[in-house]
Amino acid sequence: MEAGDRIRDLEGVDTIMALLPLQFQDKRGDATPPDTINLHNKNLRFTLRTLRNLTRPNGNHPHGPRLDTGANMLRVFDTLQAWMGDETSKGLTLQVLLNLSGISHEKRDPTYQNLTTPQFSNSDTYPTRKEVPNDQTGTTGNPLAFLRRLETDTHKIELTIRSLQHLPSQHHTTQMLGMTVLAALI
Amino acid sequence: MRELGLWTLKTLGKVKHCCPSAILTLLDSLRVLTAGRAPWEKEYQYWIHTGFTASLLAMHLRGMASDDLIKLGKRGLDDLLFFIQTHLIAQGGRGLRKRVYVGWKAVQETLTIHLYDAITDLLRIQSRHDTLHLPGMLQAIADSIADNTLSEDCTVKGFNILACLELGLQSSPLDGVILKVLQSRWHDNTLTPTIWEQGHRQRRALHVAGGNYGPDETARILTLISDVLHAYCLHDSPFHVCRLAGPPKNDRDSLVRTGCHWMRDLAIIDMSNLNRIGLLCTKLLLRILTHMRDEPFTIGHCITLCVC
Repeated sequence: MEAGDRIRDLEGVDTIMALLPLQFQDKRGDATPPDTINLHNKNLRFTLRTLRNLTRPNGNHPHGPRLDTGANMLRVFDTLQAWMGDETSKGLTLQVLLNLSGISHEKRDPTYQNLTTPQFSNSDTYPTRKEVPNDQTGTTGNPLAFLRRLETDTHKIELTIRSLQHLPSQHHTTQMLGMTVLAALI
Repeated sequence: MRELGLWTLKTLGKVKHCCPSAILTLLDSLRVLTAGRAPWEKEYQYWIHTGFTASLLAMHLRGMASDDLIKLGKRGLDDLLFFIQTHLIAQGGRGLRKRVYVGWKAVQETLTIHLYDAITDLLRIQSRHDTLHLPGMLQAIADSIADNTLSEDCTVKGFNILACLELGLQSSPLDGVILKVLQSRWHDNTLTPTIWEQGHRQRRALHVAGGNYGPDETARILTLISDVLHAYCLHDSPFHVCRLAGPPKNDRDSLVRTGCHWMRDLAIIDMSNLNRIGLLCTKLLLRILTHMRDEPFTIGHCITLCVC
């Protein structure tokens, strides 16, 4: 059994998800030392990398873990506004969000997607998730449907995309990830 | 004469000074004052003289530089090394097997600290990097460090010597001594947060200096870390289950923090260790992530180990 499966079996993903809001919000003081910022940023990145791997569907968990609860979605959304977050952490956040939303792999690939013509006009029919009963979301059982209900929070994705636009590096990949999620919500 | 000798040694100790040539005089004087007795033949009065002499030797060495060691000459250095080696005596050690002075434990603690100080300064000022690398000396140091009846301060001072010895890749009696101490203290319930932390820090320093972790050592360390984390990770720890008081929260947190840090180091040094860590500690890591959210360093170590 792989480490990831072991963590999933122990419901560790929920534990790690629960770290997001407690660990990374509203802790910034006026004079936060750079070392503290770096430490929290590093932790955030590692947390998101872990979540990205754990929420990715794999052989042992073909439909992905059932993590697309409202609480988890909101925690991930909030991470987009974490005070110490940088472009990399935003990109990782969007990847986690994408995993949770259940958008299929080939369609989520930014190089595959033509952003001018969104592919997910009716993403309720997302194949890998539609047969999974979901009693945790309190929604229709489809994570995308739940995402639509979080419309206010999806604005955070737009803000992220816009903020990345003004950075010299442009961060196209991260922007495309965000656009993929937004396109799926249309 | 012994009273006069004691008075002289006491008086010398009151004034901080450094005189390399005095080292040989001190050692010769001690031989006269103790009638040339070996450690197992010494009684109370002789140990008092020995203790004061060791203290003065440490004081002289503290103020010396490399050039001063040359002034000491070959005989002076040989006598000094002989004194250190024969008086660095562990519990049940070679020097006291024949007959043990009843008040030895009280003498041992202070004497060992003076000798560790002398060793540390000798390593600092040595003209050759193998001044203390005689097999007998290394064995005496190893036995002394491994003596878990000594105090925390003494053990930590012993650990500090290891990195200064610069043993490199050659095998020596000191190989694995840190793990031996930690395991022994763990089994005897005398493992303190400071010893645990210093053990990790000094093993790390040895690794940086070229002392790689062997597979057997790694496996033993991971097992020990797992045992420590399990004992101090709240709720289903033996302390909690048996409703024992256990160590204070700060100590428990410190032990857990060091364990996580060491585990992360081992995972970074060799990624194949991650599998073993996962088998032994996944549940513990998740529990730490839940209960130690206010400690960003510990959280960082744990979350690094969860990246798979």
